[in-house]
Amino acid sequence: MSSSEALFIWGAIVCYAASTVVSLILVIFQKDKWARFNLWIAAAGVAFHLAALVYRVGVTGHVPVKSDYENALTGSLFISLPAVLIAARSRKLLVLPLAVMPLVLFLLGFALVCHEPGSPLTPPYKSTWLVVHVTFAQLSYGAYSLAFGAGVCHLLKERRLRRGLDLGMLNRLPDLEDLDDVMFRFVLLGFVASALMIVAGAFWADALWGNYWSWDPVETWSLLSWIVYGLIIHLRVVHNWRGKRIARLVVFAIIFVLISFWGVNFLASTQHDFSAL
Amino acid sequence: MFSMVVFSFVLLAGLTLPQTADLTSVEVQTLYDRHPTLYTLANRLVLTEVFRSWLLLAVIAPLLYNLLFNLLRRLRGLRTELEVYCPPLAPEHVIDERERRVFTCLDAERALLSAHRSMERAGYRVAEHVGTASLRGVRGRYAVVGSVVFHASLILLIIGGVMSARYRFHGFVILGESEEFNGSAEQFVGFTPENTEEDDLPQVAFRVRSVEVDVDDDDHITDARLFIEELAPIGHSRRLLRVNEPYHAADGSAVRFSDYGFAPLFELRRAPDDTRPRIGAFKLILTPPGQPDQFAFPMTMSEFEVRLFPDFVAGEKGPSSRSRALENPVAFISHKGKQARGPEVMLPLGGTVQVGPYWISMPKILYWARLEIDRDPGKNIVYLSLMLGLLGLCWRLLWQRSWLYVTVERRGDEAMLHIAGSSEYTRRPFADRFKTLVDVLEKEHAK
Repeated sequence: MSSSEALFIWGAIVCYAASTVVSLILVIFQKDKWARFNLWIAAAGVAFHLAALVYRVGVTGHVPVKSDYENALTGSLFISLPAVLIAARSRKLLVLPLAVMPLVLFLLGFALVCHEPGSPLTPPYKSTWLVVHVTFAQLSYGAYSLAFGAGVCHLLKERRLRRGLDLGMLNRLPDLEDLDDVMFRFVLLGFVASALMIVAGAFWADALWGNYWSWDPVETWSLLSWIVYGLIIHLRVVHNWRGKRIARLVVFAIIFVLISFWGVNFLASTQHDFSAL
Repeated sequence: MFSMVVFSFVLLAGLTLPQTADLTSVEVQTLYDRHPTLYTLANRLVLTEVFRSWLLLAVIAPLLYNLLFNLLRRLRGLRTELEVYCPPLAPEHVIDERERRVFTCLDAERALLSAHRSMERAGYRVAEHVGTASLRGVRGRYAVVGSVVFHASLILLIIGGVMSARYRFHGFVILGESEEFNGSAEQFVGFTPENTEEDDLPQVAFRVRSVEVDVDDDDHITDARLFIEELAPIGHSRRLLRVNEPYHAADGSAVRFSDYGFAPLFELRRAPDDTRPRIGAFKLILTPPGQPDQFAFPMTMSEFEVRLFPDFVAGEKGPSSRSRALENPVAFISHKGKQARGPEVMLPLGGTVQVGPYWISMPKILYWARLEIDRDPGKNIVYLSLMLGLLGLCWRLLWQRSWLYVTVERRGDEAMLHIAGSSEYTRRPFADRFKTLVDVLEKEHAK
């Protein structure tokens, strides 16, 4: 890893870790004044993160999706960037970065473990569909992760409220209705983005492998998770499921996303082998 | 929804149980060895071949029926939905109790008129229920069209997918430079004639003229080009194909240049002065430099093993290649006898060496190209359905419907004004509009 790349990645990790610590202090000791300061730290982390990504694009000349390292780097930015933007827009959701920063730190740690030098794409994989497919894939996984974070917050707060317990630091979270609203918005965003990802993937697969659909495990898991989130939307719109019931489903559905994104490579052999690019 | 859940479970079964069609079908054998009862059960239920079985069709059929039924139902109710359709107002239809307000006013008629105007200003289509002095308004009513388009696209997708599964032709041919493909079934690699009628074969023929590969200074392949001459159905038109950029022949088939590799031309002689050598260009599938591959001349009953180094350099650890460019090609050939493999002999380009009982020379190194020939009558239907599906989905999800209800309950000189509403997916944009309406009414009419 070059010194510039290391600087950017470690800069991002340090800022994200500092933001997590400050967020915890903010929530536990109710230091309201620190909220904006915390946001600036997280924003600095995003800036370093973005710089690492741009640097990688400059070195390899392609969107960073070729290796586990590049995927973790891109995927984690698609979680941290929207979290920080949302926190900047809504005062009520200032603690949202706290809910997803551990996941971002985990992904960046994973990226460091499996770092490998960049190399250009081989001719068969040089395609605009790659950019479209991967961008929407990362966007959908980021949106589903944020929906999961909002769902967990909703369930924790709802449980305490139902039992009449002191909310403690959960008091800092937004109202249940707002959490429900944010959670469902991310589900909608993820659903549309994953539909675009599947469609772009079908076009690209036709160009690359000569078949728009080949029941590859990654394809099928993505279809399955799309159907699961489709069912969640259906339950909400047609059967008016809200609050706790939808939050439980959103939290459960992240399993399918994790398998599509990470687990499937360990479960089965797949054509989506990034090292072959 | 039930059909979708069943469909999901079938997909899950296909993902968790080893599939015979997979590259790793050895896992099916492992399942058979370790759990014979489970294997028998899974095999009878075709769960070891889910994605190519009647089970998938059996699940898709009710799904298709449900989609058709729903589409017809939606089409029948479309006109009503596009009028001022509002679901009956009940507590569960209000997303949030914050979107329910009651206050008393003195002039109910004027309050209703104000509400009517405010709702119209906010983009609501308003209907007045004369008998009960109430208003109902709907915003974003055309969202329902997106739902119709999306369901129609799913039906098209299933039809296209089934057509692809039944009528698609897909085959590979591997040709060296200057070789011809005449459209016959025998030239396809791994072709199984029993699965395809003669009429299903693509009516294309072409000659491979040359392959060009660009390698940069860091040994990365930056570009690969294939020049072909189309012989049928149009005849003698020259084309340049880049990797994975298909060209569409006149019969609807797509021809795609999908892979390439080295095809060294060898001449085999029984003696150094043999004037009638056997000649063959052997397509070495394993392209990384130095990978061992095998070839045999027909009628000689002899096999040879070859390692090709396109940019040869002799090192301490043995031969290697500086790059993948054809700069200084050298082959290492050994004769595979009946008992043991003979010694490896170095053969530079243009040279001749004795390998076992034969004399072999390498006058030229060509490229081979893998061409993928594909004809899929269902593909365009699938693509159309995907486009329609995306359009319908975005339309339906980004265009949110919301409803507002205003009712007046008279109590002598006073009137109770009830205002409530709801929106389909999320609360935020609707909540702002609701607040504006309530603010206007409260300012003007609240007692």
